[in-house]
Amino acid sequence: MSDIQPTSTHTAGDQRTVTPKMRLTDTTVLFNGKAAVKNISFDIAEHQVTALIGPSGSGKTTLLRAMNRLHELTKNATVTGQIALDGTNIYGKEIPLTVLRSRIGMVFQRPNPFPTMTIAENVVAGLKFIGMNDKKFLEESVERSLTAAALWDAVKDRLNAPAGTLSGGEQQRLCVARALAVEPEVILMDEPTASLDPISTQQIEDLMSSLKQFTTVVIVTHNMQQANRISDNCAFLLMDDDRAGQLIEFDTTDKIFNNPKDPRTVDYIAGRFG
Amino acid sequence: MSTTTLENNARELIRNKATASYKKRERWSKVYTGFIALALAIAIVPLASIINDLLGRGLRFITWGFFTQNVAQPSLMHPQDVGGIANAISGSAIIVGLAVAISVPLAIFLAIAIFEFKNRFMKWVLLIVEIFVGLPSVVFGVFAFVALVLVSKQFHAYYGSLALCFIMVPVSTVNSVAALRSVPSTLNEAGLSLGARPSRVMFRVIFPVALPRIMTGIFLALSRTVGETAPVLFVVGNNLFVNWNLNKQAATLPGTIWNNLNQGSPYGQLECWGIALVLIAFVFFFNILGRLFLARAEKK
Repeated sequence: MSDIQPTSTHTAGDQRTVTPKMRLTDTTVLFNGKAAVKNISFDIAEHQVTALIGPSGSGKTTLLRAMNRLHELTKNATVTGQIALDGTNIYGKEIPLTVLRSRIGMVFQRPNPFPTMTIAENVVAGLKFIGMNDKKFLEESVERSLTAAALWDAVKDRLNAPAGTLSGGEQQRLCVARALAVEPEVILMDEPTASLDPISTQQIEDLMSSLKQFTTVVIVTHNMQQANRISDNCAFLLMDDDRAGQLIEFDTTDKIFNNPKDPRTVDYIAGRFG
Repeated sequence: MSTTTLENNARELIRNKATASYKKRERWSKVYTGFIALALAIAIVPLASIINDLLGRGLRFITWGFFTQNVAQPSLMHPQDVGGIANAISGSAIIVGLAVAISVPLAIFLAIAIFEFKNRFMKWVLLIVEIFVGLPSVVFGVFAFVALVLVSKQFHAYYGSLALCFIMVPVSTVNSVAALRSVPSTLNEAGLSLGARPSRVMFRVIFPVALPRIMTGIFLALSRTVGETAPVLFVVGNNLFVNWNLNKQAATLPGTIWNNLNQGSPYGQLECWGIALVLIAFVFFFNILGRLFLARAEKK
């Protein structure tokens, strides 16, 4: 299936034998011809959590948004190199854009439930957008997705309440449920706890380990402890002299935090910059 | 020890500066408050006096018969028998009604196109629409007169509707574009990231969120349209009877004021106060309705 050769230098040590869910090969994202991230290559292992870490401006979010082509909403954005999902280039014609985005979902920095919809309507919004109208199927999806997002018990008695009545943490878990409802193979999370209080953050983090059963997770985080707690693999990005993000090191989270190879990773983990 | 003294000196210096700055700000604050109070008075005094005049001179015309009778020609025996405004209300209603029916879909369609397609052509379209907002309404009246009345040699109520569209479409479009742009872009991203087509996200997510503000814009445009005199004056003719046929000539509320002032009896001229009061009441009503939608939008 995959015609892409393994990029051994940037493959996490003990994952080498596992088929990657996604593979980035020399990926460069440019805005108006200027690179925001440059020559990134690493594998995203299936049913694992991969964290993108690095200081502000290192291109973590840009890279994440390139993985479901959401960065294309920005004018004059281009990508060179390759990003593959199950061995197929996501920038090729084989995967239509809307299908790609239903296979690779996203959770954003701030909770963004659809304000005119109820809790239940929010969960199945993605299904309805593609024309799924089977009532029984939708009802089951509401319960299954909310349960997977650890929100079912809290909202099962008020499914028809407006989404805006939920707390910030609950809204973010609703957004996770909404993303899960279309059964994505990968979920991209862009600092999903950045706007949440510590308790809500804890709940989202707890969610992460169970999410792995259903899907593959890629998360951008500023919080080192969070990356250490929840991720299996880590990609450490840093801005180079041209102000473009580069991959400094990719490895298992254990190695990145306890035995990093690159001195810049050592400095960052130790909190000497960033 | 010396650093402590320096620190203390610096701290004292900064505190003194802050206090002086505060006092200065207080003085200017009083001056500006005075200015604003003056500006408010300048705005309110004429408005209050107009409303006071309207109520004082117009209220006595507001009777049941005023709304149910057609305009009448006063005779020598009954110089005060100038009739009512039933014919003008029916005319204004059908003219504005048709204008709304044409303008609202057109304005929403235009606004969505301008919002969705961010290319150079649409930028020009928006610029032209904005220019239309600023044009004096008499321009549209003259245009409609030349293009419709002079060509067909006839007056029709629907000519007035077409002329009013030139006011309603631009105002509603500009307001609707602003309403769509006020929707957070993260909702668009959330919709797209679920694998939805952009048009689905537009109509299922963005448009419903923007709708209350769009309604506000439409009602504000409507309240402006109801009282417009110039565009309809030249093209709709007149009608002495209640008329619901858009193909016939029609009387309008602003037009009746105009006619009464120019050719009416002395009593007919006085009646203008009553008509003006009704007109203001309509404008006021649509304004309030629009603001209710805005309040609803902001509560969410």
